[in-house]
Amino acid sequence: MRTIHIAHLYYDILNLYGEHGNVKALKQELENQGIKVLLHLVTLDDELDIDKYDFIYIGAGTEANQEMVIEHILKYKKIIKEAINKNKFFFITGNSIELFGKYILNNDQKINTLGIFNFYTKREEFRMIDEGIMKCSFLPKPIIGFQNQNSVIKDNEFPMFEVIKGIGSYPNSETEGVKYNNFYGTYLIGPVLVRNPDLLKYIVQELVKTIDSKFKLKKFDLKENEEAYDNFVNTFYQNII
Amino acid sequence: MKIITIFICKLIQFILKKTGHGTSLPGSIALKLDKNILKKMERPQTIICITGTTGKTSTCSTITEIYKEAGIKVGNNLKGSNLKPGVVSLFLENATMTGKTKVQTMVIEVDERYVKEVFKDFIPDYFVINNLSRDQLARNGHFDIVWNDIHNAITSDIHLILNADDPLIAKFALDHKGSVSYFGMAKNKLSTKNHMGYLDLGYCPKCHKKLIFDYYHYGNLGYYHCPNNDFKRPSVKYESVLNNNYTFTIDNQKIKMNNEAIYNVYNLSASYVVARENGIDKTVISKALNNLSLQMKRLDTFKLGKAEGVLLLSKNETPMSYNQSLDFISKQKEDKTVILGFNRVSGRYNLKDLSWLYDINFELLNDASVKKILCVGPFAKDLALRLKYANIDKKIVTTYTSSDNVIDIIKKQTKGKVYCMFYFDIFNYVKAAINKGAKA
Repeated sequence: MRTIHIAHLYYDILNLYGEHGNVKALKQELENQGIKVLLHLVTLDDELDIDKYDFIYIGAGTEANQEMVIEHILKYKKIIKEAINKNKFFFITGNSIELFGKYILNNDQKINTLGIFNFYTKREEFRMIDEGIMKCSFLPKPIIGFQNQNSVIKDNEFPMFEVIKGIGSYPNSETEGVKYNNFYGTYLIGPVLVRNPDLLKYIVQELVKTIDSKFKLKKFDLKENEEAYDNFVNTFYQNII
Repeated sequence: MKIITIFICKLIQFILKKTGHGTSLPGSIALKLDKNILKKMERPQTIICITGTTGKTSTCSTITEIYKEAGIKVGNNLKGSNLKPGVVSLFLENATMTGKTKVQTMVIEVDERYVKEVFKDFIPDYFVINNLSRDQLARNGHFDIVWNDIHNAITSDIHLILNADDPLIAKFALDHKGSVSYFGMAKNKLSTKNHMGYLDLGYCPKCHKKLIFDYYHYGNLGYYHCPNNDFKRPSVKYESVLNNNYTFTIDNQKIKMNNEAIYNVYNLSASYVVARENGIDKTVISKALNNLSLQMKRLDTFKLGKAEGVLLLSKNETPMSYNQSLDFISKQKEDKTVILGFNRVSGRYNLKDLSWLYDINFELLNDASVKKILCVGPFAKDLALRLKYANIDKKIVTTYTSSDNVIDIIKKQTKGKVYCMFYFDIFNYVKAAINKGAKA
């Protein structure tokens, strides 16, 4: 098995809500499998060499920081689109999902984004804050997390989750997140890979499979993650799930 | 109407005081009777407001001590709340029946989210901004929102007193038409090339280039400049120089501290600068600050059964404060048990966001002197999970998913000195048990 390259994009500017926990969890699980991992911290002013990375992570940020990032990431629009079509792994959390839609509406202002998907974003005058419980199409147990945002996405063609409780793509929407090829995007913070061990396992399995289909994965040791998940769900969501 | 409102509220204030009750109620009532009440009351000669994520209260009390030392009649809202009703209560308390003020200077701590509300009624002469960092994000959204609200409330008649070492705070000066003074620290033995954890503003607010830090003092505080020279750490007239043995020098005055915590230096320096700019004599200020170190509150120590330890407040959702406590614990050399716990994430709302745990530097507990870590309460498993990602040895971590037996846990399950970090809910419960034990 060769070294796996993880890129944490905009690590220093899109890092609201403890989001680096997602990268820590993924890296640790791969290393527990005896796989070498190289973490690339990439940000504004850096060259974005998408081909070099096996897995790209972007976390949540403030609106002002998001706009600085848009200016930078738009230069790589074509390469990113190709990469997603060729099954490159993207794991995107919080409002960074918005970078991949057509545009962001901010009152009368229209900010163009990568345009990889057909959805668009609308910034609202109010913040939306709630716990989220989502049914996941490819996993038996629900996904748990939190939403804290002042924007919504509309016209999403490739939802990842069904909303059991929470905001979803917009208040009272039935779905949340974007899943297309190996692109996984969700508004959920948590960190979602830490708090949902089944999702973490799934992502590790899928990622390893695309790099070396013959690699035999050992049993995962996610005792703490599983206990935290079970305890949380049993204590607080007994009547919901 | 004005006199009636003041009369009613002062009467309520009087009764509440006699019965030993809290203080924002008269303000709430006054606002109901007349929402413009503050505008109708006489303004003291000088108003100093203080805001920031941490250190508001201690800065407010320090500034008050300086003015008292100078023989100036001064009022503050230390006993009340720092939201609008608390501020109204403060004005009522220090006013005559006709709304005339009884003090020369008012020192007011203002919650960072209420600056815009409070400044609608009066504009302070001096406005001290200590710091802004991640704090109760489920309530505040994020710090840009808080920053913008404060920025919009600042008018050109205000003399700003800003932390020069924090780029997010120094940014308030960029378009300010009025006076600005700074406090800040010179390079010292605690300064490092590497920053701890995240940066909340790593970029130039003008050209968006990454700021270059020559060194950091703490978190995102340090000496910075933009590569295009559009923005840099401003020069500080009264710069603080940290000495050895718990003192620092400012304006040729030596100031004693009771600990070397950097936030302490900032709070004292901010107080020094605002008083100095307001014309108070430097020897008077330094005398007040040096007296302060004698009366500063001691640690909350306890003895429960055979267990001896320290009770610390776990500031959930405020990583900067939480880290300060962890930093303190990690610097105590003796063998110890650390107990972490909270029954609720927040006293303000029922939402269970846990993402803030990952903005806290629990890695600080990764020390050979930490023999056991006990996690208590319904989120014990979530705490243990966070500790796993801080690379803490799983063998030393135990979880108790109920805090009902916390006293027994402290008494029987600990080893060495005990450092408890509890949120208000468990903190108050344990504190009551300690007090009861002391009486028995």
